[in-house]
Amino acid sequence: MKKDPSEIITVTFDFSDVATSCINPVVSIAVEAGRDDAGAAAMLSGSPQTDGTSILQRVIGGISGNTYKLRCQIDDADGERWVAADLLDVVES
Amino acid sequence: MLLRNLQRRSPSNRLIAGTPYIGLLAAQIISETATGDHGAGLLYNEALAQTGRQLRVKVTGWSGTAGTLFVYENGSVLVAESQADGAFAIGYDWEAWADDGSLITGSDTASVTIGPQSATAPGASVTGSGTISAGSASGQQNATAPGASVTGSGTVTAGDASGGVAGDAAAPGATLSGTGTVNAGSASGQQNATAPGASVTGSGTITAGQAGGDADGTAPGANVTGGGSVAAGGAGSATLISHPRFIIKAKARDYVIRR
Repeated sequence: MKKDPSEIITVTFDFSDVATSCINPVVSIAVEAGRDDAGAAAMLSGSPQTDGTSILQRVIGGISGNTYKLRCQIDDADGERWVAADLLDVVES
Repeated sequence: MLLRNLQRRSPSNRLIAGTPYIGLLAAQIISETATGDHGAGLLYNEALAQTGRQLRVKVTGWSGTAGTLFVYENGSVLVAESQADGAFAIGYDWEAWADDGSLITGSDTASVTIGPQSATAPGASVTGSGTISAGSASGQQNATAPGASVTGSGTVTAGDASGGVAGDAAAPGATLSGTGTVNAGSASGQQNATAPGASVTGSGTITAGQAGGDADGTAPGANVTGGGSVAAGGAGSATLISHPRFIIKAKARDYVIRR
């Protein structure tokens, strides 16, 4: 996934293949490659929203040239805990 | 002198003998259905436009899922109590006799919202330590406590409003001269939580409550003369919408151990 530093995007974590519900969603972001970014956590704007078996998170900012790892952890109704993660490249258009 | 063509066929393809009556006069419909318990009847708008003519209604559709819909000759509507809450549509055709004996026809759709009435506590007054709550309202209703007044340490709350675009949770003109609380409640959906004209003369608190969705929590014209406070509450965040470009899918793994 790629975004421009100025873009404000909504990232969807889709757990439909592994879970029947999404409880206690925890979304995190960290620098995977590139320059140190003390404000990485601030890229997560607002709280994650649950839509069925999907978690939606608004993402803003980022340092151009950096790669960030987006990670979302949820608990299923039967006690299982699942994580979906992917890399987000921030590239100035 | 007006002569009607009495040899015209009715909509059911039968000849009409004598003076053709197909419904009720517009004036009767207007007088009987302008203000029902929950709004005007189906034919009210058409009757206003067909002055002096007879009109009748034929229901062509009803999106309700339970109970029965009964439409009277004058267009007033009765919905069975077994119908679940929600917004429903009544499709109908209408007919009116024109002055030349021909039929004027049209179709229209009426919206019916079934649910609780507004939750209100108008002029509510708490002089002791009690509580008055306007309860909660859903659908397109309002939860309000207009003119609520607390002179003791009690609480007046306008309750919660949720659902459509028309209902607000509000405590307009609320006054607080003691140490109590007036709360406009919370509003969700596209509602507003407001406390317009709220006034605090003591050390109490008036809060406009929490608004969800795209609405605002506001306290316009609020006035504090004592040590109290008026809080406008918080505005909710917009509902996020998924974009196919930014979907991260959790992959199912094989956790079955086989020999």
